[in-house]
Amino acid sequence: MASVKGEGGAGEVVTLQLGGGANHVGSHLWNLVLEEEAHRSPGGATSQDLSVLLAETKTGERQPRTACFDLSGTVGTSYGSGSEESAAETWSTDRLSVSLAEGGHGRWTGDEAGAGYRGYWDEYMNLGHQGRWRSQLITCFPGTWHGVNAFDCYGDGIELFSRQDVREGAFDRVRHLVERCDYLQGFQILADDLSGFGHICSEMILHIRDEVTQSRPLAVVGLRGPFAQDYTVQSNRSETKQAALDCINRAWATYRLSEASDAHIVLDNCWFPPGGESQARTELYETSALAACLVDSLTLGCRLFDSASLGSLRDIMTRLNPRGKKCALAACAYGVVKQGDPEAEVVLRSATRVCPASKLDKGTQSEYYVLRGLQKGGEAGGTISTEREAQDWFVSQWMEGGGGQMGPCPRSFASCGTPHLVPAHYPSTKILSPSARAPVQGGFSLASMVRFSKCDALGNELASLCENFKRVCVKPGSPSVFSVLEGWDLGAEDRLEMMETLETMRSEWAGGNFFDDDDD
Amino acid sequence: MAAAVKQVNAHAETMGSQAALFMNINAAKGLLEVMRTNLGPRGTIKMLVGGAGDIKLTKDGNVLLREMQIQNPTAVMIARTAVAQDDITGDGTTTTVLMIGELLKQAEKYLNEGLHPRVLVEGFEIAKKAALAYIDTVKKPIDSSDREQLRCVAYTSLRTKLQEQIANQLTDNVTDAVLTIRVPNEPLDLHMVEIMHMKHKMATDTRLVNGLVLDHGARHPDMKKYNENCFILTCNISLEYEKSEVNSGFFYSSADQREKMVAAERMYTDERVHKIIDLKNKVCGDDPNKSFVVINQKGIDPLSLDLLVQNGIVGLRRAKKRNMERLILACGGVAVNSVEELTPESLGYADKVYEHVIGEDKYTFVEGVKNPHSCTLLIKGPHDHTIAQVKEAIRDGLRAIKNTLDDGHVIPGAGAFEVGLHTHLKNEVVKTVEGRARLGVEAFAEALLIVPKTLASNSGNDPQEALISLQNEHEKGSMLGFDVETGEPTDPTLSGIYDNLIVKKQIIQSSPIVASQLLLVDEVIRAGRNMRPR
Ligand SMILES: Nc1ncnc2c1ncn2[C@@H]1O[C@H](COP(=O)(O)OP(=O)(O)OP(=O)(O)O)[C@@H](O)[C@H]1O
Ligand SMILES: [Mg+2]
Repeated sequence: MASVKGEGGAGEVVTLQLGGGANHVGSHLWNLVLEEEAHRSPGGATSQDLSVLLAETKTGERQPRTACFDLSGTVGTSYGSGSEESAAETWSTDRLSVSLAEGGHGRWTGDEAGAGYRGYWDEYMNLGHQGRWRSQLITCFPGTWHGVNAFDCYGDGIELFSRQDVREGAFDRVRHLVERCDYLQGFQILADDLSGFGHICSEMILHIRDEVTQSRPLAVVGLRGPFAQDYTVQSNRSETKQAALDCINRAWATYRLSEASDAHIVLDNCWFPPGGESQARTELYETSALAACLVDSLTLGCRLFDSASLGSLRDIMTRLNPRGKKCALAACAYGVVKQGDPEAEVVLRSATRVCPASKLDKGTQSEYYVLRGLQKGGEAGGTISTEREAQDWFVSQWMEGGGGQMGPCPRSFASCGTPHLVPAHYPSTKILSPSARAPVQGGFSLASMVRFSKCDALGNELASLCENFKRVCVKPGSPSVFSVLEGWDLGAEDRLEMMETLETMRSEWAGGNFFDDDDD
Repeated sequence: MAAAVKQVNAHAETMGSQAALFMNINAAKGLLEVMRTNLGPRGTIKMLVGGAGDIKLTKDGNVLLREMQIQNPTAVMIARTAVAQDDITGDGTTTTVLMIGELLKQAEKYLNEGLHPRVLVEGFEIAKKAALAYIDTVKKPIDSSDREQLRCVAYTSLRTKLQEQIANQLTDNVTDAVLTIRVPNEPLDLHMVEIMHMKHKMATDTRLVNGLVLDHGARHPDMKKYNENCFILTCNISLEYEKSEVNSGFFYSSADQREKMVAAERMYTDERVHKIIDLKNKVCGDDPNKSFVVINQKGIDPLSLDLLVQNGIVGLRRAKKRNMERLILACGGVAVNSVEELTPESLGYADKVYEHVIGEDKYTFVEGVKNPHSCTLLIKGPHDHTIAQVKEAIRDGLRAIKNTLDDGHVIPGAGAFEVGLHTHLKNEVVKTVEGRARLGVEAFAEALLIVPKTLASNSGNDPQEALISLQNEHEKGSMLGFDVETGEPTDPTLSGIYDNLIVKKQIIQSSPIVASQLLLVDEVIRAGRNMRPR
């Protein structure tokens, strides 16, 4: 029985994926996790407890503990009724090794994983043998989002979720996942939070708080920028109106999601393929693979066994947010190195729009580092596998880089000796292409360092959001903006309330510098 | 005018008044053509195919309008009106689209002759008022305690969505479901009918369960799968210790301190479980024929499950919030929120509680309850799309009965009402109207005929012929409708074809409003450029 796990294991984390971007990232995440699971030597020691993320079915398969939500027509096959439908073939280890041996590189080709990939995420997500998990994991919401009325993206979500059957169906999915958990420790929610799924996400959070758990942590990963899907069929509007809509969307997402969650990690301008922003959408497959490694890091601290473990998801959230501040915005930077490269180097350093990389080092309030498969280098050599080693490595890197002025902010580390086992072709950049010395049979691997942090840059972002919102929406000058606000049912009072909440977040943030009030 | 707009916004694309008007009319006609074949019991089924081969079969106007990818702004506007019709009344979406389309089509004739749309709009308004007054003269009172009459309403509704055989069978299920949950002198709450589905067997295996079906089962392998004479404890009490909170290394300075906290928290949880066990012992004694089932909205962790199973108790965790309410209405007792409230009186009762497993899915049946005010319609079907189709039809059927009970009246269907109203407008109302506005009243009267004509053509009959024989009957004063089986006029009240009063009222009210709005549009402006990268 599961009670054994209850003693030693960490408890379950339930994942929810809301929207196209979220599902692209989620698909990669599960491929990654299931690959890791497949490489566990039976009975042998593993460094991670993947039952945090994976549930066991009656037949003993390990299945992602997730619910994927998207619009009908945005997945390869919807109303999925499982095996009888011919789904595109999902990725398997054999297929990958074949294509690697042929030196496959870059985009999908006929014989590869997800053969027939047409841009739908469910075509490459591992949905179990013959896609039999499809109908268990995927929910398609009906209809299109056309945004022809005064509502924009967020409004589409409002409209969809005003339908009781849709709401209840979605909540039932969550309840089923939770019902399977013996020791639920929290949720991670991936969401396209500037679209209608942002509203759905906030409804989900309210539902979870109301019916599932008052206290267990909720981490939200907001996928914007290169992950954003274009849901609207039409959008013929003036610049002012569009700007106003964008402003409300952002304010709304921050107001409703940051306030209600324990961490709101926003991926905005985070990484663009070599072709630049314009190519980002077509390369969503690659971009989301990177983001998947990042999301994987979020729960690593609580998946590690025994002494390496950082405790529960709650602990990780507390470390990230030591003062328990209301605003849960968090930023992250992400670095990847090619495994086994002697000149191991952080080749990718992305950051969110709310937190440009250059600002990460200033005024940090708290940091949480996740290191995977990094080499210590120097005389000692070897991989970093404990928290202690991670910390030492980090300090040494910092000193070498001429840093030296590391502030005394709370800083925590999770580290895992094994790099990410990357189950498919990764970003088709030169540096990130599969190494010829792929160390793991059937795949190749990536080492990474992810930093989740709270820093002043987020405060700046909040400040500009407040200012914008006040200027554009609190006293709307243009009649078209006014009609939009009306359409959203945002009366003067609601707007003021939103404004106030944003201001409060802002001021809490400003007053929250770890050094300032260290004494009280 | 166009030039003026251009001055205001250089990017605006404009369309002049004639073009705009006819664009609207054409869009409305287009939507009408798509929807007309769905109307009535002989309407055809549409297959919606998603971007990559997903299918959905439906005859329901509401489903179609929500899931079709409509892009034309006029069509979207009409679709929204029709969908609103469904939100308010649960029926009549197809008729609404037909009505709006036909009103514009009739208007087009007059507009081509140079009539100003404003005149027609005035006429629509007069006709609408007269129609609402007419409805009250033809509505039939219904005896809400007469099961047969309610059955007829449900059958009419189901028959427009499903094949005869299955519609027939579901009619009883739906009617009995409503009769079960009805509480005298209280508004009917359809939420108390749980609609559950199983992908299993055939649609004809759908049935009414006197009690509740939950979509989960006991989590402990040793818990009994079949229980008789069951006390049911409906509760919202956490029976798990929040390991994640307490066991976290972060809050404690020493391992010792942590151990203590963990133990204390565990004890606290166990205590709650023991209180439940005490209650079980009290009510069941050592009688092996009595069972005790805990249905909890919160979690139950494995250690608590162990304790329960050792004491012969079946425990289900994470029940749906709404099912807590339903359980009480079905089994009796009260929802218990803390162990202090545990008393024998708080328990409900069911003859049997048993588990049914289909593949990975478990279902728990709570059946044989004493005085149920909640029940479950268990839909079965071999495919997702069959299940979806039946589910939608059942929703419509339930709504139709609820409307009937709320209204206290019904309206004769099969086109009888529409032809009757047409005759009334032509013979009586038009004469009282001065000036050209009477053309609007006439257009309205003509538009109504779309319903009988479509019922006739959908059942393979000649619409003109059908209409003539119907109108003859109406002139003679008998309010007959169109029999889709024989193609002859028939008395809908004899064959039990009834529509809801509120549905007809809503159609009469909303269709002329939208049609008028579309007629009065004299310019369509597409402002702005597309600012987003595609
Ligand atoms: N057995 C019957 N014979 C003749 N006409 C019928 C019969 N049953 C229903 N009708 C008529 O069919 C029409 C209803 O058709 P239907 O339910 O397909 O469309 P709707 O109610 O307008 O839209 P929807 O139900 O799709 O929202 C009503 O005018 C009703 O009087
Ligand atoms: Mg109908």
